[in-house]
Amino acid sequence: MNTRISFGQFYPADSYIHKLDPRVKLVSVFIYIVMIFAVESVPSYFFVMSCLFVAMYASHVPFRFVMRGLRAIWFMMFFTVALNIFFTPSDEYLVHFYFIKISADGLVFAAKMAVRLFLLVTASSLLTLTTTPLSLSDAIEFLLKPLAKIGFPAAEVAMMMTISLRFIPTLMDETDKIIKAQKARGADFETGSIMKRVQMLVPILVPLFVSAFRRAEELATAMEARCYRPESPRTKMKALKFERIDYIAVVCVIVFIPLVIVSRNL
Amino acid sequence: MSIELQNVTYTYNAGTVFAKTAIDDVSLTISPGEFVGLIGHTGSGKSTLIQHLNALLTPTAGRVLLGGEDINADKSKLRAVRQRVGLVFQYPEHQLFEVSVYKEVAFGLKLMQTPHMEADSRIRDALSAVGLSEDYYEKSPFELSGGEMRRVAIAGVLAMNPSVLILDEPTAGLDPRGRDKILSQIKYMRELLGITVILVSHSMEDIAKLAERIIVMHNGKIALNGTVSEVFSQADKLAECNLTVPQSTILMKELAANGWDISTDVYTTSAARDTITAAVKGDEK
Repeated sequence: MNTRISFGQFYPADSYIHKLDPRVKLVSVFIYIVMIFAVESVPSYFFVMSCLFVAMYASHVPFRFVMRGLRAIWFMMFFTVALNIFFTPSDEYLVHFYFIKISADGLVFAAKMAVRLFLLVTASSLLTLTTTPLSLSDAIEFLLKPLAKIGFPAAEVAMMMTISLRFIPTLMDETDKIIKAQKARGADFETGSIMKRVQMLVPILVPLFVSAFRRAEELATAMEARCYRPESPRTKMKALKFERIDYIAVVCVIVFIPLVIVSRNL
Repeated sequence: MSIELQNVTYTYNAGTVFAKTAIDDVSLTISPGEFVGLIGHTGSGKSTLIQHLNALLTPTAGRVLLGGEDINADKSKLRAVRQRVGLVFQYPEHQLFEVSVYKEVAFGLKLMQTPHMEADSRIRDALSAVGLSEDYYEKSPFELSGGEMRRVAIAGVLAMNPSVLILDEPTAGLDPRGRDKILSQIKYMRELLGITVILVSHSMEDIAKLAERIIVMHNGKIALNGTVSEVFSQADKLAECNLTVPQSTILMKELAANGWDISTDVYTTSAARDTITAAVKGDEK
């Protein structure tokens, strides 16, 4: 019933970060992620990190919401750190116990990787926390536009993205309803062997696919009835427009790049 | 089996910015064998309420008792609870997935590992209770009409031999004929099996025709709770809940206002017909 609003990560709040043009946010996060891989020295790490924390603070999103994004990559982070600790070649080892070799280089490198991963995930979750999926797909459409010149169907891809985003909450609701309905009929999804649980996917997936196809067909009919033609140009209900705050953000990003490059060798 | 709700409150997304209380401090008792109609405007909390009755939702506060036992006390008994309290969701035909009608109805029984012979007789009983003959057994549920699919889904719940049957808007989106068929089937099933039935509906006419007691929900609370005539005689209070009395009652009131000497304590079309006929005949004499 209420999964609709809590879908995805978007956290509604009234902040400067929320008000930014989605194109600015998307490109900034992209640049930020590229720059994460340019940082080298300890001061540069602190600089990059503090920039993110400032943005996080300005976004009014509670810290624990931002940290939620990390849960998904916990395992990957652990794995990366472990691999780097044990398999970084070096001349000198701090611990050398049979096949276990731990070097100072390895520890430093592992720590750097962990911080990079942390920043990468946090920056991208900050983007999705402060931008609705729809405005994000608007931004992607805009950024893909130049590709239309070489025959890339930018508008169609954007429409497809918008539609799929639009239907995620609907299908989530639907899944929730189907699970409950099957539970009411005696299904049990929580216990049993793995084989049994896999089998229990059938009563969920079949009705879900049936309804997804039905919805797709209804939507296609509705779009045709409203004369939707992918090849004809369309206007937007909410046109993206640069405001003062967007220019400020662009300047910040432009200043950010040389600062990172300078600080990496400090 | 009696159902008792004690001060049940349920909040969706509790503890987040999206928190929303759907039902608020609801207490309620439903005796065995009762036919209860549950009405309320969209978002009044009726769907949330019925999902508590078979432990699909666990109350944020309060208790749900089934036959005197707290149904959420022992999680390992949930399946037994859901077997005793059958819940048919809105548009139940959307949950069908099997290759044949027979297998569709057998789904729950198979999971409960009901012995083959018993399962077979229960499936047959359930399908005949919803009025589907043996010709349907091997058909794919997806080639049936909407009304027939719905009856298959109801049979799937009935086959579990529930002592309480809850139906959420069983007539939504059906044509008048499919509608009448489902409703008469519900009435027949109830007389046949003697089970408690809770019917959620938007239609005052359907409720008036079938239910003995009516519960009106408004903003997550119980606004009215009483017999059909008790509830439908309080038109003002119903209007506060964005609900109306049945069409036939409106007609009778209209007639009474125009000087007819007629009772307004009439809630179904057939009762209205009889009352008006009697009044006209009385005039002729």
